[in-house]
Amino acid sequence: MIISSKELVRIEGHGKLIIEIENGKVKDVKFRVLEPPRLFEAFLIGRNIEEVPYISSKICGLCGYSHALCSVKALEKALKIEVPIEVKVLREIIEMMSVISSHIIHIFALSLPDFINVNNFSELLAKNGEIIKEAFSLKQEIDYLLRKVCGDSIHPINLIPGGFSSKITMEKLNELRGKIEKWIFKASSLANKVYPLLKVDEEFRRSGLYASLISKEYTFYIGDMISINNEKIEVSNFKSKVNEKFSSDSTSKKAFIHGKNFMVGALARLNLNNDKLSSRAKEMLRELKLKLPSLNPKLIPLAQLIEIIHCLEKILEYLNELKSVKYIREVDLTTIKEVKKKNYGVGMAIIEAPRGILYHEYEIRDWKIIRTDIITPTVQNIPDIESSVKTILSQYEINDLNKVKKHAETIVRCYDPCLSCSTHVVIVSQRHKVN
Amino acid sequence: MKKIIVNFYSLAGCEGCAVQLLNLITKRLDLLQYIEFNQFRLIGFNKEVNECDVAIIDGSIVNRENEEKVISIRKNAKTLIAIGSCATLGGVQLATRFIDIRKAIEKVYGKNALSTIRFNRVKPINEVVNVDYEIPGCPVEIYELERLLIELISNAEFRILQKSVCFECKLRENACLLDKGILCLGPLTLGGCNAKCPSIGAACYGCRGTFEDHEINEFIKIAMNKGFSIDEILNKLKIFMEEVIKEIDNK
Repeated sequence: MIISSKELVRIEGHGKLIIEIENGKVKDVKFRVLEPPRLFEAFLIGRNIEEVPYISSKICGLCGYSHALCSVKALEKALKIEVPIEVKVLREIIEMMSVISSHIIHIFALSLPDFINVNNFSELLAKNGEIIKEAFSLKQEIDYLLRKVCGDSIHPINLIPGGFSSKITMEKLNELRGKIEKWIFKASSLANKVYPLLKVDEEFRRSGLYASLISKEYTFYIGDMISINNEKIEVSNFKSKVNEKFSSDSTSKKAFIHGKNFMVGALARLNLNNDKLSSRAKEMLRELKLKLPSLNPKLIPLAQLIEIIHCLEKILEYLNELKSVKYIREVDLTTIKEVKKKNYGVGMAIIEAPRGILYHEYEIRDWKIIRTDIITPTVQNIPDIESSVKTILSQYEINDLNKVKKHAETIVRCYDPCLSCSTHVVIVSQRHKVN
Repeated sequence: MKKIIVNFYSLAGCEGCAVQLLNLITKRLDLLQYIEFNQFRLIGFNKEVNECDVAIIDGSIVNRENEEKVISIRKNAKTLIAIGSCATLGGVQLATRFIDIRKAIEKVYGKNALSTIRFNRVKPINEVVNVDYEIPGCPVEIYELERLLIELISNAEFRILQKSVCFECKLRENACLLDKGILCLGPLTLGGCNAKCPSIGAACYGCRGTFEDHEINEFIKIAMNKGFSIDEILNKLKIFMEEVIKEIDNK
């Protein structure tokens, strides 16, 4: 027997879950992505380099910042441009802000309803209105600050190879510092109210692989090394480890490490970096008594909550480090273009998007893109989603199909899959392999 | 007061406009006194009722499936609104009109994939059905969405003033990017965004489409005088402004 969900609600994009049951046992689980394709890779070819961050951010409305930042990081490698440390630090800050914004949507509007048994945003407001209002007022503040620094809260405007296209004044950085400082205490008390709601009682043990970017700090942007469980590999070797497969029933590919599924995202990051958390986040982790490493997807929203607190504290710390810098100057792209217009190069970069490892690779010649390859977090997570739904369901007697369905959907949503992303890059790597 | 029943649909796009609608609702929770969502998948509304007072669409049409869906949405909605660059203009993926799609898919996936990957021609909603209101922009501006919803609630008329991004940019006293060697489409583009891109040192890509009195041939003359080649100009127009290319004199 096959149970197939309708198009799933409360996830980014269009997707469906198909569960195959044989003799009362779960035989197979498939997560089908139904998102219509947009063929980004095809029209990025031939584009000018400075247009790539702008265009690639349009892949996703939830993690547009991550695509733009990952593309500038990769393009700078291809162009062999060194950027000043203050630019890197400000990009780290920006990426953390966009992670906070995305996490708030996921925890509070998409996943929380499963934990407190409501269906939609109105019911959510009726049941936990105060918490939701508080969470979204933090999001509004973060979005306001993103607009101040980068022009727009969904798709950043001023990120270009070399730095920022506009001067970032001390005044702006001070406003950032003041607002973030005010929110640290408020967000901690909000988190204390939320985590009892997200608490997971049942024990769920599952072994497997998990991966994230690593650095001296709990990093989202800076760094060129990833860790798979505890094996460290260079970003340039990422593709030799990770292979992708395409199946015709879905508009997304799936990524594996040596044929095995692996987890990326907040919980994978927490598994690998928890010793580097900020003090309040560490405190929270202790109180929650989470046993790490864990691959229980139901803990992902809690891991995201810990990351929100961590990011707020770290942003403040980084802003204090930037105090000695009077301002961050704008980059004169026409001069860079003049010097580099005949260059050839290949550049690859990884950053931590809200949902995990994001990989961008570009081959350039004469200031134009000649090849791209993008691997998104959700492409990496889909096999892990299928595997954990299967494992978790196999622990239950299958007698109430609706219960099975609800349980399975809850797990999918915990991963926060982003199907716009997973679809729009389907063809990119395929193209690469054909070439 | 009777609530307005709203259905929200996403086609091919990034769902950034859906996020903007969520941003608006969380900023103006009072709007939920006047609006009821039957369908808004992102935040869990999934009532299987297609009839509605207002249907809002983000994303563009890329295949027959999308096209059929839009036709059925139109049939069931008293008022149809398209929001964002994808729904109103086709979006960045409009650039696929300039590549051979069959060839691209075939080359990439092999011949078999032509039946599984459904991608025909990128179309804005107004190319298939009649649209009552459009708000362009990538993403849609929250304040314009807010104004439109409020005017629908109070039965007033919603209009976007026909002025250019260039006009708004001058009001903000920004130095002209065209003079700095940056190809900016502000002189062609419909304002309303408060010139947010040129104000932060980045070119306007024309995500809001053209305003009524735009002068493409005049713009090309000026841009070429400032040292931009016709290829550069056309290349930039191909992102959001395919329509305007047809208006260029072939001199």
